[in-house]
Amino acid sequence: MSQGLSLLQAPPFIIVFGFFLTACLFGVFASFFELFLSIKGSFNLPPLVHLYTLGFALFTMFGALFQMLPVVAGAVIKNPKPKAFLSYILLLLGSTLMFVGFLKRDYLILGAIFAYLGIVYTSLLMLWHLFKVKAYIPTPMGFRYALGFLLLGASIGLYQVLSYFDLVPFWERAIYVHLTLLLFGWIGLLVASVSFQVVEMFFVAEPYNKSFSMNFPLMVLFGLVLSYFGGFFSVPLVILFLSYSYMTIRRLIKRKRGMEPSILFWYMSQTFLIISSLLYPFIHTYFLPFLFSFLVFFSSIIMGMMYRIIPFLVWFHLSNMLAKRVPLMSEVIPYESIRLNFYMHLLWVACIVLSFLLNQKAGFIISSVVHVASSLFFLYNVYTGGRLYFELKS
Amino acid sequence: MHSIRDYLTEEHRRGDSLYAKLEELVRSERWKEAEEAFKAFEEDVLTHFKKEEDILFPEFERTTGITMGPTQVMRVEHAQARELLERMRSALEGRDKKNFLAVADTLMILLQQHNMKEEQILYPMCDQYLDSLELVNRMDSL
Repeated sequence: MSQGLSLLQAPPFIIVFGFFLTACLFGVFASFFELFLSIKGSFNLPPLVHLYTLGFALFTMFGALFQMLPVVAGAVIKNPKPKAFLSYILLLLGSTLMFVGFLKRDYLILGAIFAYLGIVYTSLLMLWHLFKVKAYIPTPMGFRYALGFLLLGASIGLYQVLSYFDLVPFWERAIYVHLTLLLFGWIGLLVASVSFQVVEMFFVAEPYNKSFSMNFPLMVLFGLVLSYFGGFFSVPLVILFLSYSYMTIRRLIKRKRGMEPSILFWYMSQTFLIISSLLYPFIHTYFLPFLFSFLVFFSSIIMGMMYRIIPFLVWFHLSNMLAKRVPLMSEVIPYESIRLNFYMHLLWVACIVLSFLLNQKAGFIISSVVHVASSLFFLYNVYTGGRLYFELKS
Repeated sequence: MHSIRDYLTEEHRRGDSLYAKLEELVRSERWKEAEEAFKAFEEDVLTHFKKEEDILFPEFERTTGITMGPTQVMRVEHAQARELLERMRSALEGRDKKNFLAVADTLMILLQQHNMKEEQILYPMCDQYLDSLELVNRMDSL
């Protein structure tokens, strides 16, 4: 019976906002680092990739999960502030030290241990609450699997770091398994699981086929196991994500609701999921294009979702506390700003693709400048949206 | 046979479709038709709330003894939705498309997260503890 009481316990705004704002800061930092690398003319991938995956994606996804667990799954984390704070501190230390460690080597093990502890603590905390409630819809089921893959992928990541220092034997396939588990098993599955719920409801679109959405996590598990053998064996995983993208795009096109700017991010995200899925079997040849496409996939969806979540939470919390002025969602972050940010994001992607095709160093520098501007604008919008809550609350 | 969850989830989806039609009419500034569509949408939403507030929630509270739990949260969100519906009506009467769509977008997200909580938490609990068939019949006759 206690499950129902959970509805009273939506997490405080500061938790979600804190994670989101930090994610945006990591996004800005990553874009500056990208600019630095473009000017230098050499790509140091591990620190850059982990700024995006650990700093930008993980902070966003944990922040979103703190919010979604009670709403979507009915799984309530009681007294969430200290728990979220511990998770936040561990991940912040881990992400920062790992970045430094990738550059200077000194702090890599320490950073990896902090990041790992943050991931293990937060995942187990969420899994513990998720397993206490029954899943009536595909989304909580997907959360469980995604968190499981995150734990596994992070464990392999830690193993890999330890092997750099000869503390454990070197495992050649570790990097491949690590990235497959975390990109498809964690990020891809989590995004798909959320879509199964929100595409139908928020865009008034046709529901996903129930047997597909309910069995999707299990099929991902099957696809991940097979993909270990690489090449042809990665085809089932590819087909799975292509099917998901196809179904999503089809539903978005046929949706009954009109256009609002976050849909643009959805289209872009799904398009790049298709591209990255198609490149995945050829990952050894097209490693950079694969990673870039996957980055566009998750950064676009994160932007699109954050632009809906922050304004709604500001309205929702202020409305609940009967604040004197309660701004509508479009007054928290204006649609015009969201649309402008989308075009900046699109321009960055277009510039990178052109630079890659033309192999122009100057093109990469210009792309990075555009990305810095886009990331800064995103940070500004999220920050000003959240700040409004604290101003009006007092 | 309907479960409470199936019956009321179906109502949520019907409300979504009515909303989508209304939004489309306002976007294309077909105000007369939009007024009719708004009436249909508003009536649908308010009847749904009435079924819950007059029949489902009291029955849930009586059976489980939980009066300050999920049903209370749902009532608060119903009140928020009613207020937004009023603002939509004013915007519609003033032919203020931008304001209408801004209020409507907030209402839509409020309703969707509200529906998620009901469909995933409250309705399954109701099906577990209450006489589903009897309650569906009572709600249907309202």
